[in-house]
Amino acid sequence: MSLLRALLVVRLRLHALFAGRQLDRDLDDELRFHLDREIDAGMARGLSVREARRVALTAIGGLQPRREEIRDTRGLTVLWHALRDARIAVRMIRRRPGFAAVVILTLALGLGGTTAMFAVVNGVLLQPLPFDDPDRLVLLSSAPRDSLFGRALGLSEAQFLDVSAGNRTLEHVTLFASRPANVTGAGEPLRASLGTVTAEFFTVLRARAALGRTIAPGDEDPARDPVVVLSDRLWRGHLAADPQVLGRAIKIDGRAHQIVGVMPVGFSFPDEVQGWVPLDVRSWIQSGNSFTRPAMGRLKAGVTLEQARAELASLAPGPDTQPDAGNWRIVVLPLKERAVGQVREPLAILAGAVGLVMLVSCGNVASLFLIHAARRRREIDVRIALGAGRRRLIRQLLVEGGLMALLSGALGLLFATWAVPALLSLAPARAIPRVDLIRIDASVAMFTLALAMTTTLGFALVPALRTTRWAVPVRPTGRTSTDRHDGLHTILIVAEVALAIVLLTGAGLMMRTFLNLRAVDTGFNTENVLTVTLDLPEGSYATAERAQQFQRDALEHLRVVPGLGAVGAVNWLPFGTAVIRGDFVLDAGRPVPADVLVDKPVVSAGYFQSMGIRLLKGRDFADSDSASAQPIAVVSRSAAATLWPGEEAIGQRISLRSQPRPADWLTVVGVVEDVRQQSLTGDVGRAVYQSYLQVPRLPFLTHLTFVVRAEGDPVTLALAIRNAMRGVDAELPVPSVVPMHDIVASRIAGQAFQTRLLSIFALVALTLTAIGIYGVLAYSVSQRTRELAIRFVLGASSWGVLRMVARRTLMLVGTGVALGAAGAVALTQVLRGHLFAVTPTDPIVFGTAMASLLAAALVAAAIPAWRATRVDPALALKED
Amino acid sequence: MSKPADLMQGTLDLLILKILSLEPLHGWAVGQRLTQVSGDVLQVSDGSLYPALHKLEQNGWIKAEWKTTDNNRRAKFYTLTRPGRTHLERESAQWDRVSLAISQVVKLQA
Repeated sequence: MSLLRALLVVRLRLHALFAGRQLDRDLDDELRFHLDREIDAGMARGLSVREARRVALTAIGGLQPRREEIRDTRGLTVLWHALRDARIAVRMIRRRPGFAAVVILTLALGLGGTTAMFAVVNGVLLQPLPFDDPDRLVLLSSAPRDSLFGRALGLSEAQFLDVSAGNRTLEHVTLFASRPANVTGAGEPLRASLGTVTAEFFTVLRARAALGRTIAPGDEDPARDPVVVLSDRLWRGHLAADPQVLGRAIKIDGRAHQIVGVMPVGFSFPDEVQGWVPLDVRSWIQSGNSFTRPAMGRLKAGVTLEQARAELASLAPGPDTQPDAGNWRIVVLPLKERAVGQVREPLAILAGAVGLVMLVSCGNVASLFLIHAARRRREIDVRIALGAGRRRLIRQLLVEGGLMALLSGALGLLFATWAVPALLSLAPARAIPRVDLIRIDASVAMFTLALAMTTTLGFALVPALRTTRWAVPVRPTGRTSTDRHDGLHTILIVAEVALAIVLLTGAGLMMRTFLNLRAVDTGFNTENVLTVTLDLPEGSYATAERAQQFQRDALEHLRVVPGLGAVGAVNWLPFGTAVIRGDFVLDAGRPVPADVLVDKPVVSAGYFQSMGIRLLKGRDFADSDSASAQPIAVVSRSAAATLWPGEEAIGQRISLRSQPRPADWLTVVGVVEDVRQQSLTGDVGRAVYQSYLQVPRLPFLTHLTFVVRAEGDPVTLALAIRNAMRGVDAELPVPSVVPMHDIVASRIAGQAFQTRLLSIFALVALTLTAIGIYGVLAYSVSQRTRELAIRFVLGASSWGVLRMVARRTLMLVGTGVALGAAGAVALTQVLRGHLFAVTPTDPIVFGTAMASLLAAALVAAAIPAWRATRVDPALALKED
Repeated sequence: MSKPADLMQGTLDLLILKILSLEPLHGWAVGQRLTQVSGDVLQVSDGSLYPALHKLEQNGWIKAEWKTTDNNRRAKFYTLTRPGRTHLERESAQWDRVSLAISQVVKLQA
């Protein structure tokens, strides 16, 4: 095609597009002229006007099909048709606003939920880590040989050195950890999380400092001045983004550290830390202590994860590991697992639940489209009779569907922009990692629109194909009471009911788990208990005496605060961030029961009272149980029962050190009720309590929580408590006051979140299913109006008709319930690991789910049933 | 009544272009002329004539204008354009080759 002609054609097409109306008129004129000439010619042959006209029309094959065909030849056909069909679609939607509104709302509901969940999954699980070539970063950990890698713990110092020296598959390996620290000398005293990392840390991540340098080999040397690298946030927030900051010193836990670098914006790995200090691996090894920290490395170019796995699994686990070292091996995981490993499964469950809700709303929309198509059958028939082509009709029905898809997609996105923040605010604090990556961006919007399009077009297509199937251009106008779509309707409703049952049982199981967890007896009373947690900086609290003095002073300050009842202190609070658990020896060579470890909380006088832990026997600690007094212990009920079965615990002697000196022997003076130290679901810990004033080792003393029983308004008390603490040591960052109840609640916050979300999903599914049942029954009653009228004439009672509707409802719902229950038995197995004190096939949960669905179905059936009884028998006589 | 599909695709186009190459005509007259020239061998329905005309117009091979006929009625007259003439020449040559080939094949089988 020559260029000139191409231009001409484009001009013609554009003309056709914009002057469509004029061209239509021209076409009508042209065809009329043709007809007139034909009629003239016919009359010239001796026909009557009527006859000539009929012959002419027959010859041309009807005017309307010709018009359509000719229109098709001109212009940018596709675009033209789309515009025209869209116009018709808008008209159709406006003619039946109820239908369109229900379809759009139902779909938008499903789409909104799905979009919100997709945004979360996309941000949390799918987005790459913010490092150079992040897929090459791997996490290293030692793990028992016989277990599938449960949790990534990390490597000990010796293992780290072994892996660093012995591997050939990794470029570099680093150990890293984070810990809370008090930062002073940079504006206000600040409690911040700091990274403790080896020099390879920044090399592995390929991260460079924005200012100065990162940590270099040799920085960890204890003989040299300590250094720190700051995060951009700390540098801007507390040092006014001072470019001259390099070389200045800040105090970390009371010790001066020289600032050698500042990292770029957004770099805060691991765990949102605000600074990094060197980790001295060799000093740890020399001290004889060992600590397991997360470790990571970067795969060498061309090395696969599997190759690294195979190589590292064969490395010797290292000399310092347990006697059963042969049972341990080094495992390798993608680094992302560290952040998302814990949430992958809960998120997958929630995403699956949302998917089910989406399916239910799809079922509703599909059945709405079927009903709609059936109602329009007459209209479609007329249009077929008037010469509209099948393709044309199908296309138009699809455009109608597409338009609704666009609207529901847009509305769904709107729902999602509202649902994402709502979802995140429902989630427990810090339960969802990488929250800053969760947003509704172009890819999420594309996902929604694609989903909306495929679903709606699918639903529009099936009825479109069905309704336009008949080749007979004009069908007799008789009543067709057989419902062609009945089978499909039944399948849809049964499926919806089944899906709703699955969601209801899932939500029910989580609900019972949550209630069971909440009912667990922790052994202490959280009511009105407030806590204040702080870490004493090593610099100003270098000895146990200093720490003990601080604790004594603080207790005295707190005891005089008006409105406070009992006051006490503990080093590691139950459900705190850590628990100290270890071995022990008993007096007179008594054998220690195998595999028994004890919790070793260190507490002050008044602690049991303030926590509401019942003293069962003997006495509590007192202020007089100081370093100079006889060393004593209070043991928990189960510790007493395990260590001295059938004997009196009081008066027994125990030491918490493996090679006790005479001063390390503790005499038991009391027995208290068992307390859950860490977990609501596991075993009750056996505890041996010591007096804070009698523990000489500083590491057991620096972390400290004060526990007070409030007798007044907690808010005003919190202020008074903080003032009291500031009065003890103004250098300490002011700690926040946290109700004990919140600390325990945070342990089941994950379950609370899952329960709440699953319940919302289940309710939405239940409502949608009820609406679906209502729609189908209402339609079937309206279809059978005449039949019902005849039945009434023949003497049927309202009661009989009611029974008929009820029977149909129960038939629909019963099948769905049975299928759903079977599906739920299979699907709720994925919840098994998340349940507590309830089996995945709990009969109460299943029964409640079925009963609520039946109830909802009967409510949904009530209006159609009532309408069925009100059918006027006179209708039996009427024509359509 | 034969549908356009029955007539070899392009044949109708070719015939119309040929007829219009002699003189500008309106649609009805094109139909009459078609019946005339092809006798009873080719029956082109009025129904397929107009779509074909409009397609040719959209392709720029013919152009249309409204004129008054001899008995004073407005009618749409079609004229062959310069690209249309080129197209006609090329297509006629092609047609000659194809029809020659076909008639030879038909003879061969006969």
